[in-house]
Amino acid sequence: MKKRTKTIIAVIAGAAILIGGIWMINESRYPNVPAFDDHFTREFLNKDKKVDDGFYEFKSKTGQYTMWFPEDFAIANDDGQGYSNNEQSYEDWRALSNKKERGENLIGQLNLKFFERSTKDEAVFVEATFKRRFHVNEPHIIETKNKKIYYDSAYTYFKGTEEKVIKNKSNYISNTYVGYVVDKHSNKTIETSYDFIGDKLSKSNGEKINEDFLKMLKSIRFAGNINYE
Amino acid sequence: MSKGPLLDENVRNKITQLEYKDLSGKEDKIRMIYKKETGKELPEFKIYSSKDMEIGKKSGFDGAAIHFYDKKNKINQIYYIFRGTEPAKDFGDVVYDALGIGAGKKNNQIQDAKEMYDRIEKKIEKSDLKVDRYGDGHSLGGNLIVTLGLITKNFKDIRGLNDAPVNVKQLMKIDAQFGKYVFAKSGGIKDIPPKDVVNLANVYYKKQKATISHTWVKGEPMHAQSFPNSWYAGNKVTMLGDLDTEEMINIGKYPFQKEAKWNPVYMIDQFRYNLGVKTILGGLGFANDHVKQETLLDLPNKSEQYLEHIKKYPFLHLGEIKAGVALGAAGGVNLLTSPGGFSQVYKGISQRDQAKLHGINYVVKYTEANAMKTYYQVFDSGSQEEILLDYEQMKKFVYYCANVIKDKEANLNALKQYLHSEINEVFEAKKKKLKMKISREEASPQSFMEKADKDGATLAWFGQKRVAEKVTFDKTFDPLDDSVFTPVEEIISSIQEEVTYYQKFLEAFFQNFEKMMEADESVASDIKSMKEVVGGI
Repeated sequence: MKKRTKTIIAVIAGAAILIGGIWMINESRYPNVPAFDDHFTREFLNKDKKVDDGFYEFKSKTGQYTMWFPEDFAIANDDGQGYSNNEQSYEDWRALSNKKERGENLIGQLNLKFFERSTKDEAVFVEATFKRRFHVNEPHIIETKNKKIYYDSAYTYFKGTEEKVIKNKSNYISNTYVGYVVDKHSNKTIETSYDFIGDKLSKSNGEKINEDFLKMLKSIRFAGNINYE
Repeated sequence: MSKGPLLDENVRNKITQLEYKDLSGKEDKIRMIYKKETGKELPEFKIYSSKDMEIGKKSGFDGAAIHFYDKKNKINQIYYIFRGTEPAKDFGDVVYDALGIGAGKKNNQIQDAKEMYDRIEKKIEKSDLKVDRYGDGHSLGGNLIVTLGLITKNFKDIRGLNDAPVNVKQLMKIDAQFGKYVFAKSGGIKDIPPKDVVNLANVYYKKQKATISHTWVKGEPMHAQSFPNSWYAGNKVTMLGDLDTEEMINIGKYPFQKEAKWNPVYMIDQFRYNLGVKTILGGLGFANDHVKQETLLDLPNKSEQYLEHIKKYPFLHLGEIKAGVALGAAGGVNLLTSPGGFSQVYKGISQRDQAKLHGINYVVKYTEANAMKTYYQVFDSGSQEEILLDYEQMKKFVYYCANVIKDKEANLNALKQYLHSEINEVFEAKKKKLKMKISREEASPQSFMEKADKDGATLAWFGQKRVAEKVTFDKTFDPLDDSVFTPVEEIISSIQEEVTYYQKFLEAFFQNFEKMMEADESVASDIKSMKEVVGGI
């Protein structure tokens, strides 16, 4: 083998090792969780801001809101269809998780839509949102200084293609959560749903999901609202 | 129970056309259209428009609803009418709309359509009569009304006019229940192939599909376009205009797919072509992030002034120029330097006059002239694609199948008869004839011997003649050889297979079409009577 060929091979190998090394160092800077393993999802997250156990801060590309994002979820956007936005006024995304928790397989889906709409008919939209999903309009309401949170949950399952809803029965642990969050100072609104599929949830898993969902809803901060609540 | 629809297809088309001038305050015009078409007066109605409701300013959504309420005559009907972004489009604008849906850039319009729907429904819910909902939408408006119908699941009849398809992956985000259904059925797979999602959508939205139809002018560009995840929900397609017009090119489909299966040059070209299309989809997202929404919406109308403005004040348009360069460099070059891309562009130029067929005016014109043919959209499990079936041809084929079955069953019975009795009868007759001959020969042994020994070589030896006193034949018969039966059995089995094939086809036809056409009363009754006739055959 000519000396020049050997040099070229050595340079290529060296470059490959260097690039690989840089890539590995770069990757190791990120937390080893599904949200950061996914390169698209990581664009929204602040790796240095682990806000609570299992959550990182999520900053919308619209610049209109931030919230806590569960670290075991990733936005399903490999084919470019899991996320879309229209300038600053609209954003939607769908994140998924697949994990084992307390001995059970938990497959989760988190859908979120951010949009601006008149607050004049807030009650109409709240009713439509909860009736569409749970057939009843009985959400719980949490009111803070800057926002109003409507949320509800139920155990749902599919009978054929029809989603059956069981609400307020103690032996059924909720696996479907819906939230509707309104900014008190503007038209900004977030509609979100949190669904889990799999074996029937254990009580402890159900409590954890309920707790996480409320944390996410409470963590939503719309742009323009300076203080955390 | 409410009466049938007040407005027929012609009236609905004309109102959709009128919606491009905004329906707000057009009560008299609507009454006039109805009177001209039917000769009757309309009951009282109220118009709701997105403009009056201050919906769609940012997204560009435009829609209206007309609510007819007449308690005395038990009429409670609402017609939602959504328009596309522009009344007249060229090919590029139409593809932009289609690809925009593919890239998920129109979801804010769906959100606005939902907002309008929720607010109107609240206003009309007080009535004690059940409300019947109808929907019409042209172009992008067609995509919106179909999507709304799928989400709300309560429309009686929806018509997409030269409409853009639904994006099933977008639907999974907009309709969380459907998203959950797909997720549950696929066992939590992150990247579900588009075809699988379309299959699941066909099952999940089965009831809603039966209420949706599409009306397309043959040769217009929108319905020819496809992109990953696109889906024309619905069972019925009415094709308008000159049915000999060639379909327009499909930008999302590589034109030399057959060749690309075996020819490496085309394989690479297909890869490059698809990459180019994907880049355009991605580029649209890029353009969306850098170009003002108003600019994008106005672009088709103001392209010339717009380009002049860019030339004069380039710094005011840095975002757009950046987007244009990205689109041109990444998408355009990739497309134009590929044989597939070049072929599409060349063909597209030759078809450029067809772009005008996309306009609502042509839908109105051809429907009025009754220049139409109805097709049914069915999922072909072989090709895994939706195909359009000509109902009249299908009907003819059903009768053809029934007659074929009748003929073949007659042949089958004849062959079975031949196999089971005629061959044996022939065999027995032959045996009987032979036995009779044997008996005759045994009765006169000497004459038999003389016939058998014509030259006398063995029986007349040196003058010593022998006389045969007795001749005995073997009278046992072997059964018929299998080789006699096998060819006939093979023919029978092959005909039987053909009959079973046609029978299964008919069974599947009636099973599928009866369910599919439940909502279409005239077709459902036609299928029922056809089944009776075919059953009689």
